[in-house]
Amino acid sequence: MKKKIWFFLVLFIPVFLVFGCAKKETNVSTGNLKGILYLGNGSEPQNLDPQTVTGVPEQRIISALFEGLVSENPKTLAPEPGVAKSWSISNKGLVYTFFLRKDAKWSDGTPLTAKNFIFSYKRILSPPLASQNAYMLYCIKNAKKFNKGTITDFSKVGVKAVSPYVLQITLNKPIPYFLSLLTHMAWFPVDKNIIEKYGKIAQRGTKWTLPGHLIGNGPFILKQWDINKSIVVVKNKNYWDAKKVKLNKIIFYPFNDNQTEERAFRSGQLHVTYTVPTSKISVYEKNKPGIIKITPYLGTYYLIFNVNRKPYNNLLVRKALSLAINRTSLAKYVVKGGKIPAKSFTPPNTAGYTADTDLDYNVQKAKYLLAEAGYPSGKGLPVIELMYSSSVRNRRIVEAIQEMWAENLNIKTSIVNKEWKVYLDSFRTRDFSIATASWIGDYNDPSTFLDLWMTGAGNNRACWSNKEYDRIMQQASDTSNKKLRNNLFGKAEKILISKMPIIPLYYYTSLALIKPEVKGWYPNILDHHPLKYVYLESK
Amino acid sequence: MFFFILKRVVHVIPVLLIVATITFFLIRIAPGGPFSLDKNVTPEVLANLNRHYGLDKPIYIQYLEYMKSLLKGDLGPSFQYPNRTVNEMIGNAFPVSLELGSMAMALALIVGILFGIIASTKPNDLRDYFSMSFVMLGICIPAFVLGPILIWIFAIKLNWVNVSGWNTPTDYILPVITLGAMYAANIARLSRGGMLEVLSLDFIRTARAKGISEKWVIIRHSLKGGLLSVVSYIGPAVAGLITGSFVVEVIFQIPGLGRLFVLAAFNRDYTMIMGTVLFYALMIVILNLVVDVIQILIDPRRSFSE
Repeated sequence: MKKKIWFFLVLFIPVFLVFGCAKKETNVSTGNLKGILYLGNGSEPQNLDPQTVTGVPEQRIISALFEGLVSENPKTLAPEPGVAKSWSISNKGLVYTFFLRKDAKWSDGTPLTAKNFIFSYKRILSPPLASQNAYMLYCIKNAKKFNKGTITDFSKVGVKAVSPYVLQITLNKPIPYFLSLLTHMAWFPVDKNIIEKYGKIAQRGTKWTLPGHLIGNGPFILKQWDINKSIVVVKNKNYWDAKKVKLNKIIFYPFNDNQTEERAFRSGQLHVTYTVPTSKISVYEKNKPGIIKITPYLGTYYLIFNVNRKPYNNLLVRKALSLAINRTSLAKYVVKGGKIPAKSFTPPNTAGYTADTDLDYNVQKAKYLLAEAGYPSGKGLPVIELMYSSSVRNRRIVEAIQEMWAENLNIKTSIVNKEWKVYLDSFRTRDFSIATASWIGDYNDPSTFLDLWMTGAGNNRACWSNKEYDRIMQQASDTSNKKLRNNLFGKAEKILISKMPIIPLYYYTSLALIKPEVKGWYPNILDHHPLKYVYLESK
Repeated sequence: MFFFILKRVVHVIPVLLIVATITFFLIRIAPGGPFSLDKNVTPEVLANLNRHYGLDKPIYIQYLEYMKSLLKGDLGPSFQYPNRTVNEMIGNAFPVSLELGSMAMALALIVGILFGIIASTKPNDLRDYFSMSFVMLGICIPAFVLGPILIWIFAIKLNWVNVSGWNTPTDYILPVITLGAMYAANIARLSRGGMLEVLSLDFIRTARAKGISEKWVIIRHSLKGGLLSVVSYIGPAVAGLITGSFVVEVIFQIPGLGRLFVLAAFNRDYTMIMGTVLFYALMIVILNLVVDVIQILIDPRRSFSE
């Protein structure tokens, strides 16, 4: 027996020595020396075609591989020259003329001209491509008709190559935020040669986006793409502004679980993650405040009513439920991460607009309104079914609200957990009473929030309708005067809050863990961090 | 033996057809589709998407077309990753799961059989209790608890290995232990039981009476019979292991088949679900056949003519 013990000890000592003494090089330390950034990027991208994908993980990589007419200033998000070195606006804001830079090239060195943009816009608006972002180009004259198949001649659409390096876009009506729209990936150019090499112009799912095939015009090129493993991009020497790009390589890792991602960050496998598990937020805030970045984000978390279902068709019931929720406690103790209790649907200071509305926490008033609605002390009110999609955060929120309503109004709530796709389908089949929901703005303008609630709008899941609201919103879309628009938005928002088809709860913040050696990373409301400007500075 | 195997191979085809048919209709009954997103698509876009994937055709036509391409071995394009085919994705993910699963099974067999034999040689002794209690931990502690504990100790505190990934050989260690633990535990219990049963038989008493040392009694005479129950456990267990454990793959960020399978269901990626289900069914059928053949070979009481 003794011999056996010695035998095993002797066997294991070298193992301990090898592991214990060898100093492990982490990704972060190697990356700092070689200019390689390691990023945790959330779920695996579905595709890297800027015209057919919609997700944020995809958008982060695509923004490194492609560039639009206009780019964003990394600090202020203000539109800056991209492929277009300058532009002029004429005809009272209806016509935009872009002067493309002559040294803008595709990553294989071929020149990028105005005709490339014509091809790209034709592609995204072609019905067979079935692009879910095509609607973003509907502001162009006749674009909607072409996308719906009403017209089939693309030359009627308001985009023209006036000369090889001059592109003209004609709009349906003036849009004050048009230039910021252009920074969205739906407007990025795609290379005709490579697309037509692997299929037809509007053919879905071709192989042009695979590594070795994909040609972009951005600061980086796609080098490698192993599904569920990593995506590697390297510096593009043919990019017109290549001398400003300091990183040599970026490696994006997909993670399905934010706990796994946080562990990878903690052990030096990642420089940056875009998500922090709720349980770790206060730990980082307390112990490593320089690492965790909490920034206001252009999004609102809210509860949505099915206003056609009893008793939620009764405004008094809706208002009572809203008044009985303590948003401050919810944001601070339940959700955490610096979330701000909501006073409106549109987040404050969205492109300079702040709504003049309020959302109180007033239990007395809530009880009074509930009694007025015919349910004194909650008697007679059917059990509320509060639907949410599976996630730790959502469950914590609905449990807190369930408790608040029970304590403050003496009513019973049953929380209904639905898997993501089933949750989405419940909206389609109208099979819900109240549900959790969130809306993230597509661009920095109040219309991206307030357009949602117009009658018949595609994402109006409450099926709410108010003629006065519609009229005011239509007026706002017809004017380009910023002051007048904001005034009209304010009026519309007041109607929305007073009629309460939704109960806004809090405004989003974006959370990130960032190693101190990462520079050129600036907080902003869209959580856009153009990788062109990011660099590593080791201590 | 040849005809035995041939008969079973022929049975594979109707089994797979039935599995394919049931899965095909079941996934389409589930609420939510591949194109439901948190931002609604316009009816025209949805119609075009359905047309591209053939979802606008009557369901029996979709079924026949799918079966036709299945017979050619073409599992179709993935709905979730439109520029990849299901064949390609399974082809990339399966070798990873195979590596992970084989190593986990090898570890489980070595540790499990060793502990089981140790426990069975002196039943109800301290050695038996310790071995079986240790083994109980493997059954009671689920992978999503064991994994993070191992990561915390060996990757974060001691910094001996990476927390996740599947790149260097040291990356294999923790996932293999996490995945193998439960199987090791079950194999230990089964082999202890099997060995105890065989060791109580008459022919073992004869061998001992003849003066053969205990070591050879175990290795030469009891092992084959004692491990019969382990062999029948291994078949489906191997199928499960090599097609990937979703939990271990997510905790350790391994690009295997288990993750692909579960995410496909979550995303309603119809073709990927069909592909992975059929692949899994094929693995189970083949491995069950292999197990049956081995059992007949090592059990002198059985023959192929049954």
